[in-house]
Formats: sequence, C-alpha cells, structure tokens
Amino acid sequence: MSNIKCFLFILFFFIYKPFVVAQDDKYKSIFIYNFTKLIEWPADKQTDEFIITVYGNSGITSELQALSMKMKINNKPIVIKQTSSLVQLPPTQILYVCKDKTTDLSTALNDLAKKNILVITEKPMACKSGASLNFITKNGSLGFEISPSNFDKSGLKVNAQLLSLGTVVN
Amino acid sequence: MKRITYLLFVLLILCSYQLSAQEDKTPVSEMTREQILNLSYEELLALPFEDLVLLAQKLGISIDELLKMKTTVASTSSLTPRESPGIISIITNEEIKNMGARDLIDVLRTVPGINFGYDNYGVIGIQMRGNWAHEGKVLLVIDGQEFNDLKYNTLQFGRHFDVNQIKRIEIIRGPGSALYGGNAELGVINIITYMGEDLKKVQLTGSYGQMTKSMGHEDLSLAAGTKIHDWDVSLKSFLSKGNHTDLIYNSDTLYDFSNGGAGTQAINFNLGIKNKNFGFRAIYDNYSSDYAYCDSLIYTFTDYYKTFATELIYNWHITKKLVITPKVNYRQSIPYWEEGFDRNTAISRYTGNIIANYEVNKNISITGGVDYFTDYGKMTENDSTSLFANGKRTVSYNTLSAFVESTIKTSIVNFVVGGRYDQHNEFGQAFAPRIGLTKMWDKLHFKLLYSGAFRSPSVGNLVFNADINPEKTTVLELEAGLKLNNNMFLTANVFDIWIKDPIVWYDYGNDYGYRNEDETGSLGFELEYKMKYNWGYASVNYSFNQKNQNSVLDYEVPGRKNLIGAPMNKISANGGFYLNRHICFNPTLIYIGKSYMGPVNDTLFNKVDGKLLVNCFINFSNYRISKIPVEFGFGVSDLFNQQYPFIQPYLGYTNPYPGPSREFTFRLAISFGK
Repeated sequence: MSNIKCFLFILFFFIYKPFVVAQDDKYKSIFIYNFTKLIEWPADKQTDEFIITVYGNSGITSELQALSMKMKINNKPIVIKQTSSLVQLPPTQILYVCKDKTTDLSTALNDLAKKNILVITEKPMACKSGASLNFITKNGSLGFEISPSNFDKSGLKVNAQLLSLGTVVN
Repeated sequence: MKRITYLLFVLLILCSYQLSAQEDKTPVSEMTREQILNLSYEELLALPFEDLVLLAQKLGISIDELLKMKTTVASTSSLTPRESPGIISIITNEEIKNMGARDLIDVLRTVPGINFGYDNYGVIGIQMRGNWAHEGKVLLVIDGQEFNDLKYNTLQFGRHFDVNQIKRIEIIRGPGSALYGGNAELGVINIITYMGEDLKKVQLTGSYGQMTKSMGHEDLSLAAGTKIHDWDVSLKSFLSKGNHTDLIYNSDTLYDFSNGGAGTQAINFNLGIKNKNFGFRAIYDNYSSDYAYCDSLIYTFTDYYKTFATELIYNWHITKKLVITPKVNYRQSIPYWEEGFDRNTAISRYTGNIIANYEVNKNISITGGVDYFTDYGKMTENDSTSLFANGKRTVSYNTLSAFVESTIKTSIVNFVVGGRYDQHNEFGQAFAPRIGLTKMWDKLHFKLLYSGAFRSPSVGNLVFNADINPEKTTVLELEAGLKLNNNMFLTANVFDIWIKDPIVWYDYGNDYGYRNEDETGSLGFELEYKMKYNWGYASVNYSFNQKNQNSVLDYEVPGRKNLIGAPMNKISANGGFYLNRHICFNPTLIYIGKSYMGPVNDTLFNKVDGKLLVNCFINFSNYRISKIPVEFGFGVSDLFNQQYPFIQPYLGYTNPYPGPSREFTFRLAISFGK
C-alpha cells in the first residue's frame, strides 16, 4: 500500500468524529437523578412509582435503566418507559426528549403545561420550546440550562441550589 | 538469576504491601481526567451534585488542560507553557499510555524536531532540529536526576526507559544551558514519573512485543506508592529485555539480526521520598545493548551503561518571599563497559548546589545559585594501559557554576533575563546568557528568545584531546501561539541555531579523536496543531530544518541542504479517540522525510527515502475483575512494515542500522490496593 493510501486511511480517523462518548449519557442519567432531589412535584400527583419517559432514541435509555436498578427516587422504584409519540403520553414525572425529537416541540410541550411533568431536552435553545431543563455542551463540557419560567408553567417547584448549578435562561 | 531476583522482589512487595487507611483522598477539584474516568458508577452516584457538575466540566475538555499545566522546565519560576521562555512540548501519561508506546523513541518521535540516528556499539542517539545531539547536546532528566553518561555525555535510546511510569514529559526544544549547564545546549527532556500520591497502590504492568522474526520486547514494570500525611513515598522498578531489530544489517558483510546481536536489557529502580520541604531520590539504571561487528567474520559484543544517581534536597522557606534550596547529589556512571575492554571507566560526580528564590513582588522574581561539582574518574580494568588526559589511571575535574535569572512582568511584555557562568579547572570558562520576551493575551501569545548555550567537553573528549574547548551556541527563536477556541491550539516557531567551535569526532584511519571544528548549525520552523474534545484529542505537527553555516565536513552532504542523516521534513500526527468509556483507539503517523547517509565503501552520499510509519493501538481501560482495576491494550507498530533505519549522522563509514520491523504489542496492567 502506498504511503498516500496509508495516510488517507489513518487521516480518516482524525477527521471522522462521530464517536459519541457514552460518558455523556451516563453523566446525564446521574444528573437527572440529582435533579429529582432538588425538584418538588405536587403532592396530589404522587404515584407509587417514579416514571421517566424517554421520547425518541438515545443511549440515555439504557443508562436510565441501569440507574433504575440501583436507585430509588423519593423512596419509590424508578420505572423507565419509552414512547414514540407525545399524543397519548402515559402518566410520567419526567419526559426526556431526545435530540432527534426536539424539532418543533413548542406545540406539544404547551399541551403538557400544568401536567406537572418535568421536560428535559438535549438540544441548544430548547428551553425556548418549553423545556424546563436542557442539557448543553459548553466548551465540550456537559452542563445544563434551567428555565424558571417553564418550571412555573409546569407547576413544579425548583430548589435555589439547582438554579445556582445551571445556566439560567428565560 | 537477575530475573528470579526481580520476581522475588515483586512478590515481596505484593505480599507485604498494605495500604494505610489514612490515605488522603484526592479532592474533586484536583482530580485528573484519568481519575475521574476510574470512578465507579456507585462513586458517582454518591457524590454531592455540585461535585458531579464540577467533574462533568473537568471531563469535558479543553485544551486548557495542557495550556495551563505549570512547568518549570524552561524557567526557575512555575509558568504555563505559553508563558515559559522556551519552545516547549508537554506529553501526558494519557497520551503515552494510549499510543501504546514501547519506549521513549515512540514518544519523542511525535515531538517536532526530534529524530533518532545510529552512533555505534548498538547505541541509538538523538537528533534535535537536524543536529546530531547524541554527545552532550540534549540533557535527559528523570525526576531531577541527570542521565547523560559522565564519560561522553551520551544518551542511549531504544528499549531503555520505562514509559509506563511516566506522569509527564516536558521538553525544551531549544537551549537550556542557562539553567541546566553544559549538556543542555540544544534541548532538555524532563521526565516526571508517578509520585506516591499518584499511585496510592501497587501497579504491575507487563508488555510483550513480537516483531516479524523475533521478539521485540518483554517488559515488566512495578510501581508502588502512597502518601500518608505529608510523606510521599514511591518505589518503581522496571525489567526489560528486547531487540532493537530483527532485520539484516548490511555491514561489510550481511548479518541477520534475527539470530542475535541487537539485544537490549534494562533494569531500573527509582525510590522517591518527599514531604513538604524535604526530598530524597535514588535511581539505579543498568542498560545493555548488543552489537555485531562484521568483516569477513562476525563478532557480537555487549556494552553496559550503569548509572546510580541520588539526591537530597531541602526547601527552606525563610520568609514568604524568600526560599533557599540546598541540594547535594552523587552520581556514578559506568558507560560503554565491555567485558575486558581496556578503556572501561567509572566516573563519579559529587555535586553541591544552593539556589535562592526571592519574590520581590508579584511582578518581579529573582533566582540565583551556585553549583560546584567534582568528577572523579578511574580506569576499572586492573591491567588497563589506558590513561586519562593527565597521563594517569585516575583523574579529577572541578566545575564551579553561578547562575541568575530574573522574571519581570510588565503590562507591555514579560522579560526573562539571566545567564550561567561555568569555570572548569581544565578547559576554562563558559558563559550562557539568556534574554526572553514573552507576551500573552487571552488567545494569542508571542515569544522572542535569545539564548547562549554551551557544551562542556566530557572526560572522554579530554582523553583524546586535552586542549579541547567548550563549543558555544547561539540560538534565536520566535514563537507565536493562537488558541483558536477552547479546544484547539496552534503554535508556530522559527529558529536559528549557530554552533561555534563544535566538538566533532573525526576518524581518518590512524588519525582519530575529538577536535573543535569551525561552525555548524541549523535553521527552520515548526508548526503544531493540538485539539482536545470529550471524544479524545489529536495533534499534528510539521517540522522543517536545513543546515546553517555548516563547515564541518563530517556533517556535510555536498550540494544538499541536509546535514548527514537529518531529514529536513517530518510530519507527525497522533490521536486518541474514545469510542466509549473503556476503549480508546490511537493512531500515530510519523512521516520522516528523505535524508542522506554518508559514504561507506565509496565516496557516494546515498539518498534514504522518506517513510511513513503508522502505529495503531487500542487501549481498554476502567475494567475491574474481582474489584481489581485492569487495563489492557494491543496494537501494532510500523503497521506497513516500512522498517525505517537509524542513519549514522556523521562520516562514520557505517551503513544505516536497521530499525525494528512491524511489531505487534500486547500490554496488561493491574493495580492492587485501595
């Protein structure tokens, strides 16, 4: 094989960057677990299980399932569900909207307002579409945006500590 | 027998090792990326949320990890690479481990301007920016101990040093004499190995490499360490057996190295004890390299290189602004030792050193010190007829040095001004001044550096020529660096090296030895682009050099801009791509441009074609078997079997020494203790 072919072969790995690091999904799932400690759901919406519904396909689902095996939230077992539509969304405390499903969320999320569902997204500017929490990658580091106004709309109470750890947007 | 002794030592350590429960836990804010990646799921879940957020930020990336790494390699003050008055490269343990480096040659070839050539006696030496720097022009420092041999001031590369225990390598690709003295004329390689606080456990690493026709290397590395209260203790050891090559050597006759004659062995122990102010270090290193001499018959020999270096140091904080550091060192060097060889020599160096560092204010600091050392050499063979330059079987030389450096920060530019003066009782005085101007903004920095440097004649040089003088070097360097964003960094530098009175080995049959020639040097430029993301990191660099005012015939390629054995062009690309938390894929490409070898049996300077060396290594980390951390990896060096040789970079009338053939490597590392 000529030197040029060798070079191109290896150069491919330098310019091809779809290596999504599963590390992010693991951290996101543990972040979500920590979010729940700092958010209060209305007492009348309490259920026997803490349900997290994932809308779309993402590695986060398996990480959340791993989390559900080890931990409880508010002393309740964690149940992970997956949905391909928001039209008939089953009862849930958290709706995680994967990146590929974040397009044109505004209408769908407006319908969810006042249902006391915490909507978490993972796309830039998604808080403008109604998400209360939005994972972002800033300078390559995982962080999150938090929208107090969307929390108000969803009827959930948020602890001030959570506001201090994220980037507040409105 | 040596191996059995070593294994017993390993077993003893493993059996007796009990880590104290009093170990300090690393604060989250000080955790390295590797430590973070090693945290278990349960440990992450147990963290306070604010710590988790901090870890996620640290796991993310940023080129700042490299750019804000403090280094003292180029200055007495602790500065970042962008501020330092030197052209600096830093290589981290993460890069070394992931690339599957077999030895320092694999690591240093990724650095702009560094290449390797063949001297003789089976010894691979270093070239810096086109100049043959094997004898006393580049200084190697391991944990503060100098490793150039004390007879000819050479370094021996090739299956020699353990790369598994390296925490960081800091390289000055320019002169360092103002700080380091007479062996740092063209560069300094400063290796920092793991301390006890980094280890906090016993780490055992084994590595095996198989070349096409014979074994490449069998390495066993053991490191143990802990930190209890302020006391940091580490003990590292290394046992290696290998072969430089398994190819056919075209000497006067053909010789197949797969039958032997290119073997290497290395044994190394490194003990470090440190508390807040006090430090002790002892390193023992024993390296051997076989070589074959071929005329009508073939003879094989083994040369040994033994070094024992020890140091006691104390940092005396007299006031908040004034620190005085006294230090004593003892080093014994027995290089080029060969069974029954008449000129076998042992040289001991006794050094006393005191440095004062005074922070005048936040913008001005001054460091000054004096250094006194005595070299005591003796011929070790009882029936030896060889004599030193004084006509005796023993010799003693003294050197007194004084140096001063001041760093002055102003709103316009930062100044570093300093110099070193050496007085040697035999060859006289040498002076290395240095002036550096550096300026750093948020994204941009500039450095303009003027450095004087010198190379002290070695004891071995003086044997051949008692009238030899130090060679003196002047280097001008200009560097610009641009932080393109938080993940990418670009640097470019130009350099001009002028070596006056170079000490050169010449060999005209019965007339041979060392002498001062008129002048030599090189000029060129280097470009480096680095990136670091959460998917991994990559760097690409290009270096160019050509001869500059060379009048040394032993280095000259007639009609060409190359010096002998020096490729003018080199491209290096290295990346580590994390496929997931466990797997990192690491390609390394080194393109070494065409060069010219000196004549062997005729008067022709033959071209040696450029070659692309491709190494790939896949590293699997963060696994646990029965709660024991396990890391392993496999890969191939010289994937396309290009077999790039080591060219003799002077008129030595020797054919290029074959490089290793394609080598498949497997490495396994396990850790014991909490």
